[in-house]
Amino acid sequence: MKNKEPFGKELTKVQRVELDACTQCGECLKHCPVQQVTGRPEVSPPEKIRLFRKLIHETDSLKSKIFGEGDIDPKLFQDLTNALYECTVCGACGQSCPVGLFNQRLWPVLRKEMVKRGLGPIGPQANMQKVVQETGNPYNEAPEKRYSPWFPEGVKLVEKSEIAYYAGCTGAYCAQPMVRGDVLVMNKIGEPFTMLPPEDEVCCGFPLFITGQHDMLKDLTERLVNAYEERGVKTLVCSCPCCVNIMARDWPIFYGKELPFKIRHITQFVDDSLKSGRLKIKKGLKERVIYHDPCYLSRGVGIIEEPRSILKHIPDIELLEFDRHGVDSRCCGSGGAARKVFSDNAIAMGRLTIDEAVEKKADKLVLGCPACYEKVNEALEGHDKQIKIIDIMELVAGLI
Amino acid sequence: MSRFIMHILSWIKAGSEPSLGPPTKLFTAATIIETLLDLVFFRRLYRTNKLLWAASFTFHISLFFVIIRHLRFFMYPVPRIIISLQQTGIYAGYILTVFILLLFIIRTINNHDRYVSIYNYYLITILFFTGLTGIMLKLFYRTSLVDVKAFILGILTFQPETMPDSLLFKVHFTLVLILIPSIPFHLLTAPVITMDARRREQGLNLVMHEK
Repeated sequence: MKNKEPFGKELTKVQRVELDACTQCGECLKHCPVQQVTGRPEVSPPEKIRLFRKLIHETDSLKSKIFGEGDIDPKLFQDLTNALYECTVCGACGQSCPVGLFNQRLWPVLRKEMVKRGLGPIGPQANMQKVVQETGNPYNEAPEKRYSPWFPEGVKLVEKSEIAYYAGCTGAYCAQPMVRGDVLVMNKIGEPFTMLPPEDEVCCGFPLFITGQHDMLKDLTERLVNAYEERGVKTLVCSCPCCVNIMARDWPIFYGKELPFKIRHITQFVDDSLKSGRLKIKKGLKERVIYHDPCYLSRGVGIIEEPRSILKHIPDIELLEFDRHGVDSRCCGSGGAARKVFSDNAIAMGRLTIDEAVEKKADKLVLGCPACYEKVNEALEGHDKQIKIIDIMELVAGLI
Repeated sequence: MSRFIMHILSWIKAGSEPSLGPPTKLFTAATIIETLLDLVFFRRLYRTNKLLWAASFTFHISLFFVIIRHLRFFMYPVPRIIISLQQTGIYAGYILTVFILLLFIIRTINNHDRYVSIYNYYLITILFFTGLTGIMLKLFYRTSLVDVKAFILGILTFQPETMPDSLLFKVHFTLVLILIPSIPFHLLTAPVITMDARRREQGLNLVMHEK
């Protein structure tokens, strides 16, 4: 272990209280997607808290301060690391917690504690910081190819504008129909908008944040915020829930002050345009569609009504709901950067989403997150139930 | 207990930490009322598991009245309000014991609850036998209340009296002595987090939306 500092130093004061407030009741297990597909309580939320409490006790109790740290069982570190990194960090456990723990924020900080000691991240995540440093994205893709494979012909960007669009790495490299749809719809709205050159649109920092690797976050935030400020941006539009989440919640902290522009999710921007008449959906869709709430959009930043409002603007459409929706939505399996390490779990979770959509006799499963889009599409391959998967802006772009 | 007090103080000092969400007022009337309802009626548990809520809520209410009833052994003179709640306390004792058993059954047979700590079972067991011996002392093996009170007040005033000569009372009292230090007092910080959760939920809409 490379750091001998007591455990718990990265936690906020409230998070330290949260650790103590967990009653270990286990109610969260029935909402945990990892539990649903693995059935292993040893990677469950209360077990993570129990193990972490134990580490704090071993390293930060009065006894350890007087007599020094004893030898901590390496298995304890291993068990906690596995439990923390197999989690999708969807936050459903906190949402259903009878006490009200804010686990969507607690787990990334516990991961940061593990990184500080060289115990995390694991698998392909371990290389992520170096890859982001070299390429500006976590997928080790060429920065110059960030836009070219999907950027629609005929769409003109302006150099400076009050509105900017941030595509995000997962959208640009793994869910291209989604970002293409975003740009087409924004273009149709007609307000000039700008984008950073592909090599300047670097990672927002979320994959590093969620895996506990915080060293580069301040630098990435400053690079992006300063670049948008230079272009006179007042509203930054983005469709990726994870990017939006870190931009709205954490960028002001890393930037050290209030951002010089507003962050808007694409559905907010498009919903406003539909309501003000700047955008009209001309074609109808005589289909039953079901919308899946991305965890970091609904539970994370409270965007729940806008996607539904957009879908309801489509003539003839019938909107269905998952049993668990809005802030209670079930993770599709792609969260927490766990999909790259525990792919089988992610596929199994994605199939639960597909199964429910099919059972509800939906014609289309509408998604609003590039990570969901990539993994649920992968989960569809070879699955016995089939459904058409589409991103919400991809859908709208085809009807305007 | 000191950890609990330290946590409360640090929580108040922390206010709304920036990483936890938009700054929302801690003590607005709405937050306080909603939190009180959350705490008194265990509304978050109701949302999650209605059967467990019913058993847990009834157990905690019963425990409250059982504790009120037992205060007569610690006070002299006994306040009128405590005298008036004696009968309620007796019924609460029966209900408490039954519902502790029910909690045990729910925990054991509920398929979802694959995670219950041994410590949880240990507490449930101690509580059950404390309740059971209490009922037996009330119904079948009554002991002198005067002796019990003299014994308890003797402990409180550092003037020890002889323990009442009842094996069942000795068992009941020993179980209480085991129970008290086993109570996870750190969980008393849970209401603080429940209040924070309420404030956070009320502030969720402000993360991306203007007021």
